[in-house]
Amino acid sequence: MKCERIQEILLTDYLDKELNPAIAKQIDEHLANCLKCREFLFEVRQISAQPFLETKKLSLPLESQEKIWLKIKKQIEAERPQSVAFNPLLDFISTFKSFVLTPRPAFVLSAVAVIALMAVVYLKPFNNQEIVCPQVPEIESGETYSDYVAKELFVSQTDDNGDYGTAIEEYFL
Amino acid sequence: MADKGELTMQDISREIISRAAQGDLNAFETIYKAYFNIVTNVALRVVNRLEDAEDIAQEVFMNIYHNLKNFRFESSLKTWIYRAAVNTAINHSKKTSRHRDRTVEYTEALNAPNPGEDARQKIDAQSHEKIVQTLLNAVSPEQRACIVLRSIEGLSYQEIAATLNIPINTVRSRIKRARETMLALRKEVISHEM
Repeated sequence: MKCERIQEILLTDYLDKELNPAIAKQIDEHLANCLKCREFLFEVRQISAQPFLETKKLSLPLESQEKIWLKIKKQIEAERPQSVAFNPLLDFISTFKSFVLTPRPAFVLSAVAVIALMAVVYLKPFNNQEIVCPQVPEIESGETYSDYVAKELFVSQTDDNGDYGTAIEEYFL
Repeated sequence: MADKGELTMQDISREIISRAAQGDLNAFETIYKAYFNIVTNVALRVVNRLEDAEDIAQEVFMNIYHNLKNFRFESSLKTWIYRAAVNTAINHSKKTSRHRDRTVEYTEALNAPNPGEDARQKIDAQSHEKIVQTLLNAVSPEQRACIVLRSIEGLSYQEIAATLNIPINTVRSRIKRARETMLALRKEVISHEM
Protein backbone atom coordinates (compact mmCIF):
# COMPACT_ATOMS: atom_id res chain seq x y z
CA MET A 1 0.00 0.00 0.00
CA LYS A 2 1.10 3.57 -0.76
CA CYS A 3 1.64 6.13 2.03
CA GLU A 4 -1.42 8.11 0.92
CA ARG A 5 -3.73 5.12 1.36
CA ILE A 6 -2.01 4.15 4.63
CA GLN A 7 -2.59 7.66 6.02
CA GLU A 8 -6.30 7.50 5.16
CA ILE A 9 -6.54 4.30 7.15
CA LEU A 10 -4.49 5.80 10.01
CA LEU A 11 -6.94 8.72 10.23
CA THR A 12 -9.94 6.46 10.62
CA ASP A 13 -10.00 2.69 11.13
CA TYR A 14 -6.48 2.34 12.58
CA LEU A 15 -6.97 5.13 15.14
CA ASP A 16 -10.43 3.85 16.10
CA LYS A 17 -9.37 0.17 16.24
CA GLU A 18 -11.86 -0.83 13.54
CA LEU A 19 -9.37 -2.81 11.42
CA ASN A 20 -9.27 -6.58 11.17
CA PRO A 21 -6.02 -8.05 12.58
CA ALA A 22 -4.57 -8.98 9.19
CA ILE A 23 -4.76 -5.44 7.78
CA ALA A 24 -3.66 -3.93 11.12
CA LYS A 25 -0.54 -6.12 10.89
CA GLN A 26 0.21 -4.86 7.36
CA ILE A 27 -0.13 -1.26 8.56
CA ASP A 28 2.16 -1.90 11.52
CA GLU A 29 4.76 -3.40 9.17
CA HIS A 30 4.55 -0.32 6.94
CA LEU A 31 4.86 2.01 9.95
CA ALA A 32 7.96 0.19 11.12
CA ASN A 33 9.68 1.11 7.84
CA CYS A 34 8.15 4.56 7.05
CA LEU A 35 9.17 7.59 9.12
CA LYS A 36 6.76 9.90 7.26
CA CYS A 37 3.72 7.77 8.16
CA ARG A 38 4.95 7.36 11.78
CA GLU A 39 5.13 11.16 12.13
CA PHE A 40 1.71 11.51 10.55
CA LEU A 41 0.23 9.03 13.05
CA PHE A 42 1.87 10.86 15.97
CA GLU A 43 0.40 14.17 14.80
CA VAL A 44 -3.08 12.72 14.26
CA ARG A 45 -3.08 11.10 17.69
CA GLN A 46 -1.88 14.26 19.42
CA ILE A 47 -4.24 16.70 17.70
CA SER A 48 -7.43 14.89 16.79
CA ALA A 49 -7.60 11.90 19.12
CA GLN A 50 -5.82 12.60 22.42
CA PRO A 51 -7.94 15.63 23.46
CA PHE A 52 -11.11 13.53 23.17
CA LEU A 53 -9.72 10.60 25.17
CA GLU A 54 -9.42 12.80 28.25
CA THR A 55 -12.78 14.49 27.75
CA LYS A 56 -15.55 14.00 30.24
CA LYS A 57 -19.16 13.61 29.19
CA LEU A 58 -21.08 16.82 29.68
CA SER A 59 -24.51 17.14 31.17
CA LEU A 60 -26.88 19.83 32.31
CA PRO A 61 -27.23 20.48 36.06
CA LEU A 62 -29.95 18.74 38.10
CA GLU A 63 -31.96 21.99 38.24
CA SER A 64 -32.10 22.03 34.43
CA GLN A 65 -33.18 18.38 34.39
CA GLU A 66 -36.08 19.21 36.72
CA LYS A 67 -36.95 22.44 34.91
CA ILE A 68 -37.08 20.71 31.50
CA TRP A 69 -39.18 17.85 32.88
CA LEU A 70 -41.75 20.31 34.26
CA LYS A 71 -41.95 22.01 30.86
CA ILE A 72 -42.38 18.66 29.08
CA LYS A 73 -45.05 17.55 31.58
CA LYS A 74 -46.93 20.82 31.15
CA GLN A 75 -46.78 20.54 27.36
CA ILE A 76 -48.02 16.94 27.39
CA GLU A 77 -50.91 17.81 29.72
CA ALA A 78 -51.83 20.80 27.56
CA GLU A 79 -51.97 18.54 24.50
CA ARG A 80 -54.36 16.09 26.13
CA PRO A 81 -58.12 16.63 25.45
CA GLN A 82 -59.63 18.74 28.24
CA SER A 83 -62.76 17.49 30.11
CA VAL A 84 -65.66 19.95 29.60
CA ALA A 85 -67.44 21.27 32.72
CA PHE A 86 -71.08 20.06 33.19
CA ASN A 87 -73.65 22.31 31.51
CA PRO A 88 -77.31 21.09 31.58
CA LEU A 89 -78.31 22.97 28.39
CA LEU A 90 -75.31 21.70 26.40
CA ASP A 91 -75.95 18.23 27.77
CA PHE A 92 -79.61 18.31 26.64
CA ILE A 93 -78.66 19.58 23.15
CA SER A 94 -76.05 16.90 22.85
CA THR A 95 -78.51 14.14 23.92
CA PHE A 96 -81.20 15.46 21.53
CA LYS A 97 -78.76 15.65 18.65
CA SER A 98 -77.55 12.13 19.23
CA PHE A 99 -81.15 10.86 19.47
CA VAL A 100 -82.24 12.56 16.24
CA LEU A 101 -79.13 12.11 14.20
CA THR A 102 -78.16 8.60 15.25
CA PRO A 103 -80.10 5.96 13.26
CA ARG A 104 -81.89 3.47 15.59
CA PRO A 105 -82.22 -0.03 14.07
CA ALA A 106 -85.80 -0.61 15.34
CA PHE A 107 -86.96 2.74 14.00
CA VAL A 108 -85.30 2.24 10.64
CA LEU A 109 -86.76 -1.29 10.29
CA SER A 110 -90.32 -0.21 11.14
CA ALA A 111 -90.09 2.76 8.73
CA VAL A 112 -88.94 0.48 5.94
CA ALA A 113 -91.77 -1.97 6.69
CA VAL A 114 -94.44 0.79 6.56
CA ILE A 115 -93.09 2.15 3.27
CA ALA A 116 -93.02 -1.35 1.78
CA LEU A 117 -96.65 -2.03 2.90
CA MET A 118 -97.87 1.25 1.40
CA ALA A 119 -96.14 0.47 -1.84
CA VAL A 120 -97.82 -2.95 -2.03
CA VAL A 121 -101.31 -1.53 -1.29
CA TYR A 122 -100.91 1.24 -3.84
CA LEU A 123 -99.52 -0.85 -6.65
CA LYS A 124 -101.77 -3.97 -6.36
CA PRO A 125 -105.02 -2.69 -8.12
CA PHE A 126 -103.04 -1.19 -10.97
CA ASN A 127 -101.34 -4.49 -11.60
CA ASN A 128 -104.69 -6.41 -11.74
CA GLN A 129 -106.33 -4.03 -14.23
CA GLU A 130 -106.42 -5.23 -17.81
CA ILE A 131 -105.43 -2.64 -20.31
CA VAL A 132 -108.04 -2.70 -23.10
CA CYS A 133 -106.78 -1.42 -26.37
CA PRO A 134 -109.29 0.28 -28.68
CA GLN A 135 -110.27 -1.69 -31.73
CA VAL A 136 -108.52 -0.37 -34.75
CA PRO A 137 -110.44 -0.92 -37.95
CA GLU A 138 -108.45 -2.84 -40.42
CA ILE A 139 -107.80 -1.66 -43.93
CA GLU A 140 -109.46 -4.08 -46.25
CA SER A 141 -107.53 -5.42 -49.17
CA GLY A 142 -107.67 -3.27 -52.32
CA GLU A 143 -108.83 -0.23 -50.35
CA THR A 144 -106.75 2.99 -50.64
CA TYR A 145 -105.77 5.07 -47.64
CA SER A 146 -108.13 7.94 -48.72
CA ASP A 147 -111.06 5.45 -48.93
CA TYR A 148 -110.23 4.24 -45.46
CA VAL A 149 -110.22 7.78 -44.02
CA ALA A 150 -113.53 8.65 -45.74
CA LYS A 151 -115.16 5.51 -44.35
CA GLU A 152 -113.92 6.28 -40.85
CA LEU A 153 -115.29 9.82 -41.05
CA PHE A 154 -118.67 8.48 -42.11
CA VAL A 155 -118.71 6.01 -39.24
CA SER A 156 -117.91 8.86 -36.79
CA GLN A 157 -120.75 10.97 -38.16
CA THR A 158 -123.16 8.05 -37.88
CA ASP A 159 -122.08 7.56 -34.27
CA ASP A 160 -122.85 11.23 -33.48
CA ASN A 161 -126.45 10.62 -34.51
CA GLY A 162 -126.73 7.49 -32.42
CA ASP A 163 -129.22 6.73 -29.66
CA TYR A 164 -127.99 7.77 -26.19
CA GLY A 165 -130.52 5.43 -24.55
CA THR A 166 -131.90 7.64 -21.75
CA ALA A 167 -135.19 9.59 -21.50
CA ILE A 168 -133.61 12.89 -20.49
CA GLU A 169 -131.26 12.75 -23.42
CA GLU A 170 -134.16 12.07 -25.79
CA TYR A 171 -136.02 15.08 -24.25
CA PHE A 172 -133.20 17.53 -25.00
CA LEU A 173 -132.53 16.15 -28.44
CA MET B 1 -37.38 13.84 40.85
CA ALA B 2 -34.74 11.35 41.79
CA ASP B 3 -31.02 11.98 41.87
CA LYS B 4 -29.18 11.87 38.58
CA GLY B 5 -27.84 8.42 37.78
CA GLU B 6 -30.37 6.59 39.88
CA LEU B 7 -31.93 5.06 36.81
CA THR B 8 -29.97 3.43 34.04
CA MET B 9 -30.92 2.47 30.49
CA GLN B 10 -30.98 -1.19 31.57
CA ASP B 11 -33.91 -0.35 33.85
CA ILE B 12 -36.07 0.51 30.86
CA SER B 13 -38.11 -2.59 30.14
CA ARG B 14 -40.46 -3.22 27.21
CA GLU B 15 -43.32 -2.78 29.62
CA ILE B 16 -42.19 0.72 30.62
CA ILE B 17 -41.83 1.70 26.96
CA SER B 18 -45.31 0.33 26.15
CA ARG B 19 -46.86 2.15 29.12
CA ALA B 20 -45.16 5.40 28.13
CA ALA B 21 -46.37 4.92 24.54
CA GLN B 22 -49.93 4.71 25.90
CA GLY B 23 -49.50 8.06 27.64
CA ASP B 24 -48.38 6.96 31.14
CA LEU B 25 -46.43 9.99 32.39
CA ASN B 26 -44.69 8.09 35.22
CA ALA B 27 -43.33 5.56 32.73
CA PHE B 28 -42.21 8.36 30.43
CA GLU B 29 -40.47 10.12 33.31
CA THR B 30 -38.49 6.92 33.92
CA ILE B 31 -37.30 7.00 30.30
CA TYR B 32 -36.55 10.73 30.58
CA LYS B 33 -34.35 10.25 33.64
CA ALA B 34 -32.48 7.30 32.15
CA TYR B 35 -31.63 9.03 28.87
CA PHE B 36 -31.34 12.66 29.97
CA ASN B 37 -27.53 12.62 30.26
CA ILE B 38 -27.01 11.01 26.86
CA VAL B 39 -29.27 13.54 25.14
CA THR B 40 -27.74 16.55 26.88
CA ASN B 41 -24.14 15.42 26.30
CA VAL B 42 -24.77 15.08 22.56
CA ALA B 43 -26.69 18.38 22.49
CA LEU B 44 -24.02 20.30 24.41
CA ARG B 45 -21.20 18.89 22.27
CA VAL B 46 -22.95 19.68 19.00
CA VAL B 47 -24.32 23.17 19.83
CA ASN B 48 -22.00 24.20 22.71
CA ARG B 49 -24.55 26.45 24.40
CA LEU B 50 -26.41 25.69 27.63
CA GLU B 51 -29.67 27.41 26.61
CA ASP B 52 -29.68 25.69 23.21
CA ALA B 53 -28.99 22.32 24.84
CA GLU B 54 -32.02 22.79 27.13
CA ASP B 55 -34.24 23.60 24.13
CA ILE B 56 -32.89 20.58 22.26
CA ALA B 57 -33.47 18.27 25.25
CA GLN B 58 -37.08 19.42 25.52
CA GLU B 59 -37.66 19.03 21.77
CA VAL B 60 -36.03 15.59 21.68
CA PHE B 61 -38.09 14.22 24.59
CA MET B 62 -41.34 15.67 23.19
CA ASN B 63 -40.56 13.99 19.85
CA ILE B 64 -39.84 10.74 21.67
CA TYR B 65 -43.13 11.02 23.59
CA HIS B 66 -45.12 11.66 20.40
CA ASN B 67 -43.44 8.84 18.46
CA LEU B 68 -43.09 6.14 21.11
CA LYS B 69 -46.27 4.47 19.79
CA ASN B 70 -44.41 3.93 16.49
CA PHE B 71 -41.36 2.34 18.19
CA ARG B 72 -41.25 -1.28 16.96
CA PHE B 73 -38.34 -2.58 19.08
CA GLU B 74 -36.40 -3.29 15.85
CA SER B 75 -33.52 -1.17 17.11
CA SER B 76 -32.63 -0.44 20.71
CA LEU B 77 -34.31 2.48 22.43
CA LYS B 78 -30.83 3.91 23.05
CA THR B 79 -30.03 3.98 19.31
CA TRP B 80 -33.43 5.52 18.60
CA ILE B 81 -32.90 8.25 21.22
CA TYR B 82 -29.31 8.91 20.03
CA ARG B 83 -30.70 9.42 16.52
CA ALA B 84 -33.37 11.86 17.75
CA ALA B 85 -30.80 13.78 19.81
CA VAL B 86 -28.17 13.99 17.06
CA ASN B 87 -30.61 14.99 14.33
CA THR B 88 -32.29 17.63 16.49
CA ALA B 89 -28.92 19.02 17.59
CA ILE B 90 -27.59 19.13 14.00
CA ASN B 91 -30.71 20.96 12.79
CA HIS B 92 -30.48 23.39 15.70
CA SER B 93 -26.78 23.96 15.05
CA LYS B 94 -27.42 24.71 11.36
CA LYS B 95 -30.12 27.22 12.25
CA THR B 96 -28.06 29.07 14.83
CA SER B 97 -24.61 28.71 13.30
CA ARG B 98 -22.52 31.79 13.68
CA HIS B 99 -19.48 32.54 11.61
CA ARG B 100 -16.65 32.66 14.10
CA ASP B 101 -12.91 32.68 13.59
CA ARG B 102 -12.03 29.12 14.62
CA THR B 103 -8.29 29.84 14.47
CA VAL B 104 -8.55 32.66 17.02
CA GLU B 105 -10.63 30.46 19.36
CA TYR B 106 -8.14 27.60 19.11
CA THR B 107 -5.14 29.90 19.68
CA GLU B 108 -6.82 31.43 22.73
CA ALA B 109 -7.45 27.97 24.09
CA LEU B 110 -3.84 26.87 23.58
CA ASN B 111 -2.35 30.08 24.99
CA ALA B 112 -4.46 30.30 28.15
CA PRO B 113 -2.68 32.32 30.90
CA ASN B 114 -0.34 30.36 33.18
CA PRO B 115 -2.15 30.05 36.52
CA GLY B 116 -0.89 29.71 40.08
CA GLU B 117 -0.25 26.20 41.40
CA ASP B 118 -3.49 25.95 43.44
CA ALA B 119 -5.73 26.83 40.48
CA ARG B 120 -3.67 24.97 37.88
CA GLN B 121 -5.72 21.80 37.86
CA LYS B 122 -9.02 23.61 37.39
CA ILE B 123 -7.67 25.90 34.71
CA ASP B 124 -6.05 22.93 32.91
CA ALA B 125 -9.40 21.20 32.79
CA GLN B 126 -11.08 24.36 31.48
CA SER B 127 -8.35 24.87 28.91
CA HIS B 128 -8.60 21.26 27.78
CA GLU B 129 -12.36 21.55 27.49
CA LYS B 130 -11.98 24.69 25.41
CA ILE B 131 -9.57 22.96 23.02
CA VAL B 132 -12.04 20.09 22.54
CA GLN B 133 -14.92 22.43 21.89
CA THR B 134 -12.87 24.52 19.47
CA LEU B 135 -11.91 21.41 17.51
CA LEU B 136 -15.55 20.37 17.37
CA ASN B 137 -16.66 23.82 16.29
CA ALA B 138 -14.19 23.71 13.40
CA VAL B 139 -16.07 20.92 11.60
CA SER B 140 -19.55 20.65 10.11
CA PRO B 141 -22.46 19.61 12.36
CA GLU B 142 -22.68 16.20 10.61
CA GLN B 143 -18.94 15.54 11.04
CA ARG B 144 -19.14 16.83 14.64
CA ALA B 145 -21.92 14.36 15.43
CA CYS B 146 -19.79 11.46 14.14
CA ILE B 147 -16.76 12.57 16.19
CA VAL B 148 -18.90 12.99 19.34
CA LEU B 149 -20.47 9.56 18.94
CA ARG B 150 -17.08 7.91 18.23
CA SER B 151 -14.56 9.76 20.39
CA ILE B 152 -16.74 10.79 23.35
CA GLU B 153 -19.67 8.37 23.44
CA GLY B 154 -17.48 5.45 22.30
CA LEU B 155 -19.77 4.01 19.61
CA SER B 156 -18.31 1.79 16.88
CA TYR B 157 -18.58 2.79 13.20
CA GLN B 158 -21.37 0.24 12.76
CA GLU B 159 -23.29 1.67 15.74
CA ILE B 160 -22.87 5.23 14.43
CA ALA B 161 -24.14 4.13 11.01
CA ALA B 162 -27.19 2.52 12.62
CA THR B 163 -27.81 5.52 14.86
CA LEU B 164 -27.60 8.10 12.09
CA ASN B 165 -29.16 5.76 9.52
CA ILE B 166 -26.30 6.31 7.05
CA PRO B 167 -23.88 3.89 5.31
CA ILE B 168 -20.76 2.93 7.29
CA ASN B 169 -18.54 4.44 4.57
CA THR B 170 -20.26 7.79 5.10
CA VAL B 171 -19.35 7.54 8.80
CA ARG B 172 -15.74 6.75 7.83
CA SER B 173 -15.61 9.63 5.37
CA ARG B 174 -17.06 12.16 7.85
CA ILE B 175 -14.59 11.13 10.54
CA LYS B 176 -11.69 11.35 8.07
CA ARG B 177 -12.68 14.83 6.89
CA ALA B 178 -13.23 16.04 10.45
CA ARG B 179 -9.75 14.91 11.53
CA GLU B 180 -8.17 16.41 8.42
CA THR B 181 -9.83 19.73 9.29
CA MET B 182 -8.52 19.50 12.87
CA LEU B 183 -4.98 18.85 11.57
CA ALA B 184 -5.28 21.77 9.15
CA LEU B 185 -6.46 24.05 11.96
CA ARG B 186 -3.45 23.12 14.07
CA LYS B 187 -1.06 23.80 11.14
CA GLU B 188 -2.78 27.14 10.51
CA VAL B 189 -2.30 28.13 14.15
CA ILE B 190 1.40 27.15 14.05
CA SER B 191 1.95 29.18 10.87
CA HIS B 192 0.29 32.23 12.57
CA GLU B 193 2.56 31.85 15.60
CA MET B 194 5.75 31.83 13.52
